Amino acid sequence: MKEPRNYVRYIPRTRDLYASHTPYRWVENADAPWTPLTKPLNQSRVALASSSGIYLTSQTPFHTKDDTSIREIPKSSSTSDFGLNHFGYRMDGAERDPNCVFPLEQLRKLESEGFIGELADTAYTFMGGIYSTRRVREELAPQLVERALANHIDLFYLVPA
Amino acid sequence: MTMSSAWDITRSVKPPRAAFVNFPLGNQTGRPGNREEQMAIVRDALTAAYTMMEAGSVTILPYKWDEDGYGWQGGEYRPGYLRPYVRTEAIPPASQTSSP
Repeated sequence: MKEPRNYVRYIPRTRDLYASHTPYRWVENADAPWTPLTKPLNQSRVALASSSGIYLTSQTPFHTKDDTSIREIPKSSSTSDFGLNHFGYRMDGAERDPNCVFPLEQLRKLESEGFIGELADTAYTFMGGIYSTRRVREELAPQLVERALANHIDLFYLVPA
Repeated sequence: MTMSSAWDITRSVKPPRAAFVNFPLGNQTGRPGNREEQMAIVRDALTAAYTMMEAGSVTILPYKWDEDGYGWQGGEYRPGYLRPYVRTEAIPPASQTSSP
């Protein structure tokens, strides 16, 4: 596969950052699952999920110690009602404009333009800085999949942060 | 379809479909306030979801952060780069509205 000309090596930098800890073990998958998409974009129901740590200020905020909980964000929500908590990326941009990690306004516009068939009523957020890959695999991911399937979506659009 | 701004992590995890934007973490769907770029990135990523045919492959989107595209990378994610995190336990919500 073609590689980008230059890119930050985050895996070694994460090891530098946590040099005093046991070296972090990243998930390594030998291959990827594949589900064919059966409808064109303009007929597809799309749901958004983001690990940016965004929540509604009326909800319990995320904490940053292996929090595997999920918040459901109604698609009509206003960005002025969002709070944000995460420790793994610089948040100043997302605090000014959540659309850089949680593109709800872009997707609403793409729905109104007919570029996508429909934006699902609910978007999903969580705090992606979870140390335990086992807890992501066994607790968070099955919850997310279950909710997305119950939402009858055709395409799941994920923004890791 | 998943966005990515961390090439090595995405190649290790191998999501079924990914769209790579070579921007600092925290800007995966565009720079703050740049609505035109934010729209273009999301549109391109969703389009890629429908054109990609190989499981685990990554589509590289053509957006550049600065003039040479890479000037920001030297100090990125080095020790001391992130502000210390401030909250390790849940705090009560501002109102009593129940959260899902």
